Amino acid sequence: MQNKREVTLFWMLMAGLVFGLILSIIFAVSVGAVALSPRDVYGTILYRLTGWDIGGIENIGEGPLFDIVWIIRLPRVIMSVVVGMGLALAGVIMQATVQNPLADPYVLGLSSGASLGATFSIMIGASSVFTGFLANTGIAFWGFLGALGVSVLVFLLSSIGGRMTTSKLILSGVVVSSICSAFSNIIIYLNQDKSDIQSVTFWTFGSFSTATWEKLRLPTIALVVCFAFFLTQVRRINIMLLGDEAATTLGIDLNRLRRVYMVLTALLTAVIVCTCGIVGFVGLMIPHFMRAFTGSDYRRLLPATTLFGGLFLIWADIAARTLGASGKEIPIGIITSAIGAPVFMIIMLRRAYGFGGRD
Amino acid sequence: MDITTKGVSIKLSGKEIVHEASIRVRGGQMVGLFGPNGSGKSTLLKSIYRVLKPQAGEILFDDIPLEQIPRQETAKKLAVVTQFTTLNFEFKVSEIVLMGRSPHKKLLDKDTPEDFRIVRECLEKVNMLGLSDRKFSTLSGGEKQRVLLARALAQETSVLVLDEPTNHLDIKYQLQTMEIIRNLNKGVLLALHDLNMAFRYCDYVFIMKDGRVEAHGKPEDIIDEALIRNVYEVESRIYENPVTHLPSIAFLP
Repeated sequence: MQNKREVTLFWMLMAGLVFGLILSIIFAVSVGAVALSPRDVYGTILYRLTGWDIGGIENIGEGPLFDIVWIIRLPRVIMSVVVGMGLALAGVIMQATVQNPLADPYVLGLSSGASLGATFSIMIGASSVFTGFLANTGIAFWGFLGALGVSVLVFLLSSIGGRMTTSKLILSGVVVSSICSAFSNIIIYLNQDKSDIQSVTFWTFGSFSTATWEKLRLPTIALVVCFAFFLTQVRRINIMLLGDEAATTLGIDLNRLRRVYMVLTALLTAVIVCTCGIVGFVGLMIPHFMRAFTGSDYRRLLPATTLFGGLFLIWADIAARTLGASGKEIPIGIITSAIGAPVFMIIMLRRAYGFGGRD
Repeated sequence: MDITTKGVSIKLSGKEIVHEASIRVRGGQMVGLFGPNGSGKSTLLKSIYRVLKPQAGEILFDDIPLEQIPRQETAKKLAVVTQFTTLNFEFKVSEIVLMGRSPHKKLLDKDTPEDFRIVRECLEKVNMLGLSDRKFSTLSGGEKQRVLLARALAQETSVLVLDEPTNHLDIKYQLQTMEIIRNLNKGVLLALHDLNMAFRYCDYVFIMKDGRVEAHGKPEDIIDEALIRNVYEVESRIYENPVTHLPSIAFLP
């Protein structure tokens, strides 16, 4: 039962994911309009990080090579890692909160709520309304309000008339999400003259093309804080998965935990959406893939999912950058939806997950 | 540990399901809660294991009011076996039983060899050790019920509450489950359907009707034809079973 083989397999999986993540980052930076050699890439990154010159690179730490690697491409690649990790983490936590493997920030409308909050704050010029601490977080703060509002609303809507069932949950998510995107699109169309409002495409399908080190700070902090917190919660989360009644008899205060988890996932989602727009389905499919390797035990699933989310989005972004004809980018959200929606369908079709609330 | 409810009333969506119910389970006693469908047995049990909050009355663990005990502490004193439900997530049998150890854990505690030993023992007690690596969803109803019993045992509490633990079970597993429960030497409070079980297994019984405790006492003292007519609204004869020499109930149509 204390299965040595499973423990070994888990650590091999984790090592593989970390290793894959590092290789993928280097590869992703080397791909682009100007193809770079991987050695130039990691040489430059190592030099910038540690000051260690691996040798054989001319003008290390300056010039066009440095600009391309460190200023243009690496922030974008790191952003795809952070966003992928964050969305996968938000998804896997939401699935525990509502005890349903179909939950995801996009499916349940949190992403739309966040984008409504963000566009609203740009419309009223929230960054000038607030001062001090809130001045810089204006957009993210409003996005957070939007996402939190949506998660509470969806939770309440799907609990109407007793038990929360999968169908009620998904329908509530669709309804609330549609309302939010309608309103945020209205705001965008009415404010197209404002320079700081992004296009509809940005909010609907997301983009990493504006990534800078500066923009990475907030999502990275949110990701690290949430990840560290949820790592301490894995035992409780496992018990939550057994259902409300069982969790209660095992000493879990469900109402309080649900509230805390909902606030944190809303926060994480909002910060991500405000940075790169809506990237759908990541939080749904990544945990689903990882369950095949780790099972439902969150002690393994949570870290594995988070790492794999980062890995996945690097490659989705590579696809977004390279698949488009004549150097035109495909929005990242189109790639993730093209892969994610079929995965959603597969999960839904599996009777084991009790779609429609059989129990 | 003793469990006492004093005048507990519970309303669900405006309707009073339990009315001023007072029951008591003394340490080590096996106490049965009987009554027809809808008499409020499950609802009363739910208030004891804190899924429902009573509108009136109080529930005491020894002499301490339940709401003064933190939830995790409750889970160290009282384990519960409810009717099994389907899980939305797939777990192995051993993983589910291991979760019974969680009330004894702080946030970052690891599972110790001791925990795994307890899990093995509990699975052995319910005859499920051979299936410990199986997926829960692949088990039969009776097997699921026994896994949940093993999980409750793994909590190592002094009191066990069971809501119709023998429902959906074959007669073999009904008897096996009841024998396991009786040999635990714990305080046990269980809701049951079959009054014949009372004579064989219960030290004390409470009979409920329409949310009220209608009668209580030792089964052989209080269960008679008049009580059955009153509570279950059927005619019956009670006779000594020639095989078991226990009182037995024959229901007459």
